[in-house]
Amino acid sequence: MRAYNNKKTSVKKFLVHLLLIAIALVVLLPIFSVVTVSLSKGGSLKAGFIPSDLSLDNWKYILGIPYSNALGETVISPYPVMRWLFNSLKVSFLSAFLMLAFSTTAAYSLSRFKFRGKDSSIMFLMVMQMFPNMMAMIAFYFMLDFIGQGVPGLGVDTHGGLILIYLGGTPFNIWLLKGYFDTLPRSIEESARMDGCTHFQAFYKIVLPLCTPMLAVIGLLTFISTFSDFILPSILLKSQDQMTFAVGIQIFISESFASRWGQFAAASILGALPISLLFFSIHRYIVDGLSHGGVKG
Amino acid sequence: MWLSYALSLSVLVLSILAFYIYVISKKDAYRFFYPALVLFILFSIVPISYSVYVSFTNFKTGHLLERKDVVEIFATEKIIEKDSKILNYSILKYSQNYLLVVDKLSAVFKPTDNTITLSGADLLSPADGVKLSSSEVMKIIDENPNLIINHPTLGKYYFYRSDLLAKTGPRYLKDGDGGFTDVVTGEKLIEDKVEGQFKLAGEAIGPGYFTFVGLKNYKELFFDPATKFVFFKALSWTITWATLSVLLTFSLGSFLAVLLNDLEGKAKFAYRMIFIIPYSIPFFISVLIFKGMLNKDFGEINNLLSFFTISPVPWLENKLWARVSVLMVNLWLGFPYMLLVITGILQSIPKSIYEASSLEGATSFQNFRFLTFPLVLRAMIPLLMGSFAFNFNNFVGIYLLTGGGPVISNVSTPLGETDILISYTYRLAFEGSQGQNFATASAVSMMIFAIVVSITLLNFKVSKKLSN
Repeated sequence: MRAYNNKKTSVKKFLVHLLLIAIALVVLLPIFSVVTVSLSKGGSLKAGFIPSDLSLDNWKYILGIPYSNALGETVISPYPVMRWLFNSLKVSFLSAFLMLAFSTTAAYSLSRFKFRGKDSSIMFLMVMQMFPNMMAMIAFYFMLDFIGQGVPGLGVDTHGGLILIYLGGTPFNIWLLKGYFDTLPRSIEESARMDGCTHFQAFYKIVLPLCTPMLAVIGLLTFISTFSDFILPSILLKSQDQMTFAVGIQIFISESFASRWGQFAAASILGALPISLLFFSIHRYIVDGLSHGGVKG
Repeated sequence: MWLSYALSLSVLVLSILAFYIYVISKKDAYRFFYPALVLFILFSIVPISYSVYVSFTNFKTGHLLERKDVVEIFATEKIIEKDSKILNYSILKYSQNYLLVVDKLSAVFKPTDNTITLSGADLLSPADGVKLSSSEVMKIIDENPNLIINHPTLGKYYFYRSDLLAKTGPRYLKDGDGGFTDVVTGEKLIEDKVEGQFKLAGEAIGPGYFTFVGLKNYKELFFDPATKFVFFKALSWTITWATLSVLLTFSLGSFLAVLLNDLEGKAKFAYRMIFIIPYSIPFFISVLIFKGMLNKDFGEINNLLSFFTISPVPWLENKLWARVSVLMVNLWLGFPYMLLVITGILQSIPKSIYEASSLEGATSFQNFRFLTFPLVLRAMIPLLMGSFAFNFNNFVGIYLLTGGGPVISNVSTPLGETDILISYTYRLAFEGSQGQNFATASAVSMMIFAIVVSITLLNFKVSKKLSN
């Protein structure tokens, strides 16, 4: 009886592994495919899963390194892909940093002070955040156009303007941070206040350092979501040098998709890798945050 | 117009508020909150108020101008006098002046002059001047459109095109009451103030201007048969898509979470890492990769199928397959989220309850059916509703894969088979074949807002009930 049971569980175990491996293969299929295509000669979509003709041409194209093609001509990419990536990283970093600066103070106020209309303003912030801002795109454009006449660095087709618009989207971060501040005991700042600190000093010197891990997670999540956004930058950024990665990469698939597939594959790996690594470095914290209220997905 | 009012008003109110908060009241609560509030009001509330305003107007192609701009267009429109002669001209540029040359006549002028008088005298040698290109000529004309050119025999002329002079007069004469009369027919233009359009004998003349139309856009969504059909078609697919997305990702996610939970050691860790890879890649990149792989003629997936002698599947071109494709891609993107969250929940279930049930002789299926599943579902309901709300507006998942297509023929406004409401809004506003319809798009966004807010409020209520 016991031997039979053992045999039954090992068969079951084998089947479970078989199923899991099959699913893992389906999950990995697109990734295999993209890596293979990026390393194949030419740009055909039909590269198969093992690179038949190993070549770094697609990567050279994306990285802006000259190479010679089948006809012996020297090819250099007209698209500043590395610049797009740099733009994206810059915009995402600055947005995340400024967003944190503005949302921590607001969240602290909502967590620590009692004032009239507090609960309703939290509710109002959260509800307004849900407005589909597709239509607001037109308003964003006109507003930046207007602001740009006075302050050229914050106009249409500038990174400053784009970041400014992103800073309007703080409520969700405020809400997450408020939840975190609520868990910190008040006594930590109260003693500092007794020693003569102003409220802001107590906040800046005592509370903020305690929240570093939480700030890092929220900052990185903002970074990732800003990096992934493409509607707003595609409406606001016009010149090729200003484009972010998510906007620029569309060029590779909008015109003659089939022949540019290899280049797109290399570019997509280049763009996905930093974000993927960031994600894995903080995924433990994200899981905690997720069960808190659905960050993405 | 609305936007500048809203913007100036908010700046005014915010400045007064700043003065009150930082100078008079000095309450820390407000001082900490104020900076975020400024950004939120300027870059969330003002644009939202603009969308709301637009949803009550007829702001769309053909009605994108303000009334005063349309009046300006009528006032400046020119017509060539009947039976008058049209003359060719060119302009030469010299170091100080310009020379206007008409046949054998010429005149020296500056762009700021009011009148130019042509004469037969040789003033400047044409060989020394540089001929202006037509765009340079247009620049001079635009600066001073009413410049009068006196011809010695033919009388007053005006610039007509970059190479032609003509005897022009106003096409429409301004009446005392602010209306216009057509010079050609002698009839008065009729202004339809409701529609925002000048008309002549029932025909629209010139561009329209935008007007306040009240609830018209909303009424159309619900009562105009053609618009209603498109709106509800998109709405029903949006609900189907969001529901199926949640169900599929939840099913696969919970199935894998339960399987993995029973495993141990390195295998468990390795599988989990592989399964969350899709979640770590920016969505727009994964979706674009799938777009390539699902290409009918060159795609990797049809290529793979041809191995098993299956003929190419029109993944993105056929109505049914396009819907299957968006759902499958969204499953690939979305199941890791469910897996992660459910794993967390499973780990928080105390082992002791299973020990108790195994003493009662329960099978592992019974354990799952009566213990694990109800516990997980209870904890998951708020997250499932959140996921529903997310997918309801999952623009990237639809737009980057199919662009909303394949396009449905024979509908009044453009709509694709996989278009959800948010991509339909985008289509209406930014890429419609019938021009840009911001008005209807705004009304649709308001409906989306109403639906998503209702789901979220319901979610709050349910979560509160569950946590009590």
